[in-house]
Amino acid sequence: MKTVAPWQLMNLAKSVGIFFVLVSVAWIGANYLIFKDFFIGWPVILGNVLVSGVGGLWWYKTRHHARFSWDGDGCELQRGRTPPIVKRWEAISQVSLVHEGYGRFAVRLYPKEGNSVDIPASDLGLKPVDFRFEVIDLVRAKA
Amino acid sequence: MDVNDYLLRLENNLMLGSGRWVADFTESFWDYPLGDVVFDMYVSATVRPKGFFLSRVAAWLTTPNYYVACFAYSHDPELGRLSQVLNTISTFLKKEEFAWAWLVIPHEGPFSRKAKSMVENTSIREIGIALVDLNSKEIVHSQSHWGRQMVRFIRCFK
Repeated sequence: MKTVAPWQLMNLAKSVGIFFVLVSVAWIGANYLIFKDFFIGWPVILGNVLVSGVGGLWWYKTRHHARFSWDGDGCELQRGRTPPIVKRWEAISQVSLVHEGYGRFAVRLYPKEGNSVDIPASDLGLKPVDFRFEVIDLVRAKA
Repeated sequence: MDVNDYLLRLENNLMLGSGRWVADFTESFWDYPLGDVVFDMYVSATVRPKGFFLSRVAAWLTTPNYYVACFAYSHDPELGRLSQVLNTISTFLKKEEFAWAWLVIPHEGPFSRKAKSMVENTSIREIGIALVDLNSKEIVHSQSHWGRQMVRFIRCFK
């Protein structure tokens, strides 16, 4: 079974960025409530960056880090620490290539029953177009 | 250039290239069965672009949200089944509430005079049709609004 789980820098940057904004707003809000003033300086910004880095990394590992495994029988996709989604190729009826914006692509699997599953091909470092054809071949082989 | 190469270029041009000026082509299917017809490729789109926060708000306020599609069908260069293919697309547009569609018919070689004439005289308003000769890079299109519009978006030979 092949497995890919590279660092997905876009998702990591998004997580750290969101934490940075939240921590900054919380710091400014707390300062205003307690001191009626804002304390902003390099030590504060560095502390904010450090907290955002740790928080963003934790959030990324918990929610976003994608790990994908597949072989001739089926595939397994896990995002963060959520339970993995397991699909067998014979249960798939359609495969499509989805542009998620900013040049990022996913391969969408439509099962015969249930909801579709998006494999974040670009995030996983796979070539989306080639990977789409590989999945189509795997599904056809089991049809 | 063979049909598959052309379709890959067309897909890329719709999703990442000039196609974005007309609609946000987001999802592409290959060998897509619809009724009795299996299309080589079907790409769906919405005319409301996504973008980041402010772009989304602006698009939501200013752009209508309707769906459109591009179909490619290369199995019948003589156009013997054209009316069946057009009926299939028309039924799909009505059923799925899509506003309009393009039908691209690529072929490695010239189309017959009869086929060209059929396409030029087709007058379905919501479907634009184009015959693409991949050898000579000649495009013959229907005279409807979408037929005339589609030419610059499907001309992707380089």
